[in-house]
Amino acid sequence: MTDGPTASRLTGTWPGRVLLAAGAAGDAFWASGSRSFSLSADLAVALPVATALSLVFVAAAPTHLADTRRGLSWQPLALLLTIAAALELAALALGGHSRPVPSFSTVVDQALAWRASRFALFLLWLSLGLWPAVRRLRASRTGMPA
Amino acid sequence: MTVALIWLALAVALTALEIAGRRSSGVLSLSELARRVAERRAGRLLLVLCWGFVGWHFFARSTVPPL
Repeated sequence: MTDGPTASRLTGTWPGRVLLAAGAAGDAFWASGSRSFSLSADLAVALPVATALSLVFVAAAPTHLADTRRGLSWQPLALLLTIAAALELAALALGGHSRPVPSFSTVVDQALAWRASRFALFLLWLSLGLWPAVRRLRASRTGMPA
Repeated sequence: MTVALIWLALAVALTALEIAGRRSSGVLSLSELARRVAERRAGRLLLVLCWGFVGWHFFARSTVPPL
């Protein structure tokens, strides 16, 4: 496993960033070409998850925690998440693959039928999970807020 | 079809909330919520596990065969 300073040096330089982007694109290409329920698909997902898990333990806590704003209005987000949860529960109660009330994953599965959309969605998924970890790693090196 | 459009509308609304949150409009966005959860190592671990489950569910266990 890479130690914290080495990993943060890797992500902080432009060759490191190019390597990271190439690795992400390669993994997305591999995942988008793998059939569901195959070892290849499992590995294409497991590799970035293992990387992110290692970053959770490798990256030291930032010297200064993120400058989170307090006192924000939480009601709009809570409303949207409640509607989503209610819709998902209703869809699952109807079997999950109901045509009139599909679950979220059934809707997304339709978009995953094409390799190009699977590639794009996999890249989106990778960036959502790995980018915050990489930022935190760099912040822990420089002592700046993540 | 109608419910699929509601899912799309929810995704658009969450994106709009995210943009509004970044413009300091005083509303809590998903990324701000995640940032707060990630202040602790256990929270970061939870976020990575949730993210991993989403990836495994959609990309390794998708029920629609590739075209």
